[in-house]
Amino acid sequence: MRVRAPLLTGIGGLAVAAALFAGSALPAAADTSSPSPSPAASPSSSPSAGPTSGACRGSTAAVLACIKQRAATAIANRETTLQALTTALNNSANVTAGDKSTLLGQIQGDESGLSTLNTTIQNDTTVQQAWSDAQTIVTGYRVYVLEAPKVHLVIAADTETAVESFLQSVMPAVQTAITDSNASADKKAEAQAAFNDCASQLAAAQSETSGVVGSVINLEASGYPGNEPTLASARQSVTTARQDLGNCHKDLESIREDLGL
Amino acid sequence: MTRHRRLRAAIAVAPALLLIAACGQAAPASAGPAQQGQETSSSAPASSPSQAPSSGSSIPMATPTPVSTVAAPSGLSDQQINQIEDQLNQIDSQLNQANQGLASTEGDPSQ
Repeated sequence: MRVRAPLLTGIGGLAVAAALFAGSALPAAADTSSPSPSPAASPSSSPSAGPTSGACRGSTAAVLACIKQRAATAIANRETTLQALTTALNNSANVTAGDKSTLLGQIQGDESGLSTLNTTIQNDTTVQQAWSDAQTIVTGYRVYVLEAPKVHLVIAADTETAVESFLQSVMPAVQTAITDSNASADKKAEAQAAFNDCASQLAAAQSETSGVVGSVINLEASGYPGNEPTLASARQSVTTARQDLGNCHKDLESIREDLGL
Repeated sequence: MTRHRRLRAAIAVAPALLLIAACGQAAPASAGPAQQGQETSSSAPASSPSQAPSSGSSIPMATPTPVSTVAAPSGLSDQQINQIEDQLNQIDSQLNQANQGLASTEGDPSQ
């Protein structure tokens, strides 16, 4: 009898299988008709760890080795992503100290957990146990679909907050410059209109940005995919605020041009 | 007495001559918003032809004009405008990466 893995039943198993192997050359999960893993092995099958893509095939030992190898790769890939997230946080000049501390703590927890999980999988002695543990790489961490977007959205939102604070602080001086300008009445009117638009865009951006960090920073893998709409909503808010701030930025350039500055 | 008068006149004119010579070489540098009075500290010889004012005027401006990095009357300098632009680019970069994650297939049952 030939052993194929992943051999999960139900849509949940299919989802995890697909997720686990996405981008990491783990076994494909296209065959939903396969039964649960069987310890029986084909005597004629290859003793190798199996191909780098597609289902793990061969003897029980080969399938087990294949799962372990691909799980190790999947974990290594996620650890690389977590390191990149750490770098992004450390390189950001605008992420708040509190948000940075919270996210770095979560990332370190994920790195530690994945490392321990890899040890567990490498020590598994059955295909079924290895496969069951390997699912946790996805379900227990959701590095790609939850952690990474969350970190980037928090950095983006904190950067927007920094821009908003700066703009808020200079707006009075800009208004004074328009009022005191020796530019023509038409140019001053244009500058004032641009200023009013900038103030409106800034207020809208502030409204969009506020609450983004609080809504996403503590989202957990255990809540996925139920918490996915929260992420999507946060992304929309950050995107809209970015557009508003871009418009305000253009307004300021227009004001400088109108006033001949 | 006449010699004394000549001497006093020479002393009175000397700082002005020094100021003119120093301004002639300080103005083109434009290293920053120099304060009035700093120009007199220059000790470079005035004989170098490259230090002559390029404007052709024998009387240089006593007050240096502000450089562009100083805050503009609008309350925003070029540097500040560029800083905002840089931060907007950073937001774009973070958004792009967030979008990549949200569009990834991890956990997608349809894949």
